[in-house]
Amino acid sequence: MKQLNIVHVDMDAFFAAVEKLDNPALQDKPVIVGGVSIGQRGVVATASYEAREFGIHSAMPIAKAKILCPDGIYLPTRKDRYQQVSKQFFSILNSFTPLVEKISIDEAFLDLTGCHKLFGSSEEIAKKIKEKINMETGLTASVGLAPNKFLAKIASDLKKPAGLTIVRPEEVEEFLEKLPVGKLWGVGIKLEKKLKNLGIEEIGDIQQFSLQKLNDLFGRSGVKLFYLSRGIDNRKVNTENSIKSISHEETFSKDIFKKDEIYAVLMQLAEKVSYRLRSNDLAGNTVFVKVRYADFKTYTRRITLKKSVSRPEEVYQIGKRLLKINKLLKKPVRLLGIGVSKLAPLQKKQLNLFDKQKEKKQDQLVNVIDDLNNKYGFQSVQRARELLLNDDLSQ
Amino acid sequence: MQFNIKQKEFYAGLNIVKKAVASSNTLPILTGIYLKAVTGKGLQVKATDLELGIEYWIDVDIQREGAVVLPANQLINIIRELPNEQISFKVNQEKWQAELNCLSSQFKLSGYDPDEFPSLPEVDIPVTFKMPANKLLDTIKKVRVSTSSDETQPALTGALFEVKPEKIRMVSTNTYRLSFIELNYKTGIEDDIKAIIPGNTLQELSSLLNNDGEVEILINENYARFDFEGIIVISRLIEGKFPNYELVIPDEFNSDFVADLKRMQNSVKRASLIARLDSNIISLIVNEDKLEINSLENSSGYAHEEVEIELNGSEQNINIDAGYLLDVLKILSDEEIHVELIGPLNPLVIKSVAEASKFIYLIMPVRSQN
Repeated sequence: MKQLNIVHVDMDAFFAAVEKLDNPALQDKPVIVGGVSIGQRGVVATASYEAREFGIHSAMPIAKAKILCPDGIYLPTRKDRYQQVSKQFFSILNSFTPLVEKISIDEAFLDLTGCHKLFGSSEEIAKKIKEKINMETGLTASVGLAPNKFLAKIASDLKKPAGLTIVRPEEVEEFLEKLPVGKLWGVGIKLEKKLKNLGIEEIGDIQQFSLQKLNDLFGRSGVKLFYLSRGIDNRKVNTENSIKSISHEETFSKDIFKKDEIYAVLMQLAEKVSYRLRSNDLAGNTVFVKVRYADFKTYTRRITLKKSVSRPEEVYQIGKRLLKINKLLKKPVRLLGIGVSKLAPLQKKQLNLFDKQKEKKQDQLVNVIDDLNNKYGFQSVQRARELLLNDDLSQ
Repeated sequence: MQFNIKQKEFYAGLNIVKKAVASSNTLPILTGIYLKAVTGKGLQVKATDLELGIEYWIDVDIQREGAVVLPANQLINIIRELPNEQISFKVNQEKWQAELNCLSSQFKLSGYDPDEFPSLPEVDIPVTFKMPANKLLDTIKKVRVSTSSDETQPALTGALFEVKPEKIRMVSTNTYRLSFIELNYKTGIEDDIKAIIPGNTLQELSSLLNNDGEVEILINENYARFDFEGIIVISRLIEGKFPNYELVIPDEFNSDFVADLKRMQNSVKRASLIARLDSNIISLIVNEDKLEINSLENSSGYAHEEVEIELNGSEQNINIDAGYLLDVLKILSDEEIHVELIGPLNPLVIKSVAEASKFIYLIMPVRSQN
């Protein structure tokens, strides 16, 4: 059996916890973070544990949450602030090992191979990670330590919040036995129902079936079930940049029709996309825009370029062109998005014969803006175009 | 309007002008070909999309004069499918309907009032000069590849045509590569002229020009006209400022080498089979006696090629787009290729210099910090 080297770390009710951190008066209150600024149209991004007791969970429409918990504290998302804390979170993880796989803003896998001489046993390191996060950010995280990613992820989820669950190689089958099948990766509502119809409720029940039988019953997902139910998962912690595309979108409180307003939002979104591209040292060859109208019809249009782009001005201009040539702005827009894909490291860059000087200047400008944003928070410096944004449109 | 014409001649004539037929039908009449029968002169065929116009005279005996505009696609398809026999062509001038008879085939095709067809612009008060068709063709072939397809920078979608009393220059660039050609040729004009000719026009000229005869060129502020072999091509010029290309053509270099053109072309082509699976970037490692061509690291595979060279100066290392290099290797007809290098962040320069002409091709490198 494999060694006990894989850690999964997950911040507890991340967005809500950050709000409580910044405003101690919210402590012990049901806090719901989500698209509040867009009236009744948003969904819950994170609910604090107090709010979860009312049955509120993420992705639930805010309107429904308000019925369940009318006295809850509803707050708009402050992505920039969460990003700040997330940066702190990841720099803590990186202080233990470079083998960190980012899954989302508040969740990661670590491979502890080679860390033991510096920081002690895997158990000790898992504990240290948890403590360091709490000390340095003032927030709690739940940690799972196991021989592989699949088990580590289940483990971290088991004793939330502020839990630490260890699954030693020799305990794997026992650990899985009593868990409901829904905990298995790839088991959604449909498959869960099928399994229940066969009398399979716990992972232990799956362990009774042979590989052949599971294959006959469920095909390829059956094979997956066989291995996962035995805690077998050979995926590596993937530190390589696995970002396929970077995009941002925004739903408006009122559908907007004025081109200037739409372009102002587009600029803001392009800046965010560009900022993330550059903080990951990436540039992309494909730019895409997404537009949703009042009838929820959604259109995505893309263009692939010879030259890769990363600067906000470039992303914006191409996005604007896409909107124009595809005539996407003939109707009021409910949602606008822009993104870049076909990413490659920024280092590989086709140089230009003519505007060497011009590009150098623009790069310098962009770097200065990045520095200011890093120091004072996103959009402490803005382009004039964004000043056109109405207050009720911006978050 | 009435005449008899050989299928083959009619089809050839229509093919010459069809490149100028408008593809979109914002103005339906422009998707047609204008036909005019003039006693003693023959049949004039003409098409234009308002950017480019082409006119050609076919030598036929006219029985009755007249004119009509017929839909280009249908007309060309019909003529193509007819046997190579005499076609008798008649137009009902009331209904703008043509009737074609050929052996046992009969067609009627409705068209448009020829008076509504825009006449090709007059290139008045032009500067005029003549040059051999083969020289113009060669020049166009060498600059056409470097024109840009980026419509946001219109001036770069064409080539700069500079005519001086004793020199002709043509330059094009998409800002990542550049073609420059200079001919020593007495044009006989008095003042220098500069015009940007659309890439599309260059494309059509290169397919219409052949190596015989002379081309008469007329240029004024808005149009350029090329007369050759009975064909008239009139093109609108691109307005805008062409970048200052003279500043970016290096006048010094640190290393230069000579290689066999064919071998180099074959090697680059093979390396590109792998390189193009990623970004089509290849790395050139220039050693004392050989040039190594490698695909850049990518998950799809790896290619390594070696070409014998003679190097003067220091060894060099540069990453470039394989497509840009292949394009120039394909258009050169010399036996050897001469390459100059400054460093990994400066343009790679390919030169082909002869007494009568000078061709310079620049490729900007790809910066890589891996």
